[in-house]
Amino acid sequence: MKVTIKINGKVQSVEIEPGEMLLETLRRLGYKGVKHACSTASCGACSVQIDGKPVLSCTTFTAAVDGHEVMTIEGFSDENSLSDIQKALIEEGGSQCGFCIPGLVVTSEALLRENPNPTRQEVIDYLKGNLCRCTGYESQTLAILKVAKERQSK
Amino acid sequence: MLNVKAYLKPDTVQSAYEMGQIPGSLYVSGGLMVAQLKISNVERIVDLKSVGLTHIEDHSDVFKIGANVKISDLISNPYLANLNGDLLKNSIKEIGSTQIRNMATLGGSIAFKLGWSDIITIFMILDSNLEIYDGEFSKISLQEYVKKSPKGVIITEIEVPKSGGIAVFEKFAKSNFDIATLNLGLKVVLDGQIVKDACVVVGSRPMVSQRIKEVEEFLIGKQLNGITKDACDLMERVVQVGSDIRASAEYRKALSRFLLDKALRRV
Repeated sequence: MKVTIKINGKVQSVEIEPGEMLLETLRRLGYKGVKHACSTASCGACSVQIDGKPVLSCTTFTAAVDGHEVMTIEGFSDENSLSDIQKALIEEGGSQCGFCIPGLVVTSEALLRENPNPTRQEVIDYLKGNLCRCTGYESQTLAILKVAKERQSK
Repeated sequence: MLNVKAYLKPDTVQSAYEMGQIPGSLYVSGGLMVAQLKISNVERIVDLKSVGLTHIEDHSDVFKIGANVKISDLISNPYLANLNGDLLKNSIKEIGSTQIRNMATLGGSIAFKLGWSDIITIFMILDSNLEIYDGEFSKISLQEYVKKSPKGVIITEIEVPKSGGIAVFEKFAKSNFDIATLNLGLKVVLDGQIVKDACVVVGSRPMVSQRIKEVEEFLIGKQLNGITKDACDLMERVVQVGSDIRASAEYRKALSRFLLDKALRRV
């Protein structure tokens, strides 16, 4: 079956299997920043935004996304520069192996759009579905709070 | 990937129901549960989101909530969120993660009648009724629905009565992102310090949520202060729980007392 999805601002017509998951479709199309990890809606590594809301692409039927807008990590920065959240994660030591970072950034972008000035607890609550097995969450939380402050001051 | 032959998007509840009656068909709403199924006999997925049902209507005596309303949207209506002492506002954030709440729907969370469902416990405390379609529209209480397990029906709407009282939800899990080892809901209507009416629901037993009538009857007519210990003793004695990978029945019994204690202190 054929679906039309706007991915990172570009409308694409894609041939898919009826039972295909969005994660598979996106990776097949080259969006490899969307990570294949647990496939059980548990880790958040495959997070993307659909119509601005963070969801798990491993458990989203691609057919259900027909006519909607998807944003992957590739849509939040260009090839030559990192986004402010990505830079802050590096500066605060919030990334080690980096596998969870794309999902974390996609979810954080939604958080800061919904709540531009979150408290520490609000960051922790919002990001609790993005598991990190290297860094722990303190430095990541600090990075998000730092970006929130910087964006507020602009 | 589920090896299905067709992903159908019906326009109406009636056409969705007809599609769902063909052997090998499975309804999907939020999709979280269906996406993880490891079954090979599903040939057609019938997507219920295409029929709409995303309304939250504020009527004089009830809230009417469309079955396809996302869990995250339940707190978008401040009157609904603040009902019975901010029950939904305080409890929805305890369910899953941001991403899961953006995907899971209210109808889908009830339809599977999963034992560990926090949503069933929460909406059972609210004394909710369901509108279902099985060839014709009818109403059934949530309590009856989980008992009867009607097959092949579509939940179209959830009705939450605007009853008085204060309700709280308690959950014990390894982390608040994890499935509950046990969850508990309590609603009391007070006349001064006297309990006029009570509703106590325990879920993730690991069986599906159940009202604990013995504890409700014990609470009614008593002064709230000073009955906690006896109520908790009774709860531990009467609650029907089982063992699974998360906890033994004995552990759950002990938890039930702890959660009721916490809930009684909160109201």
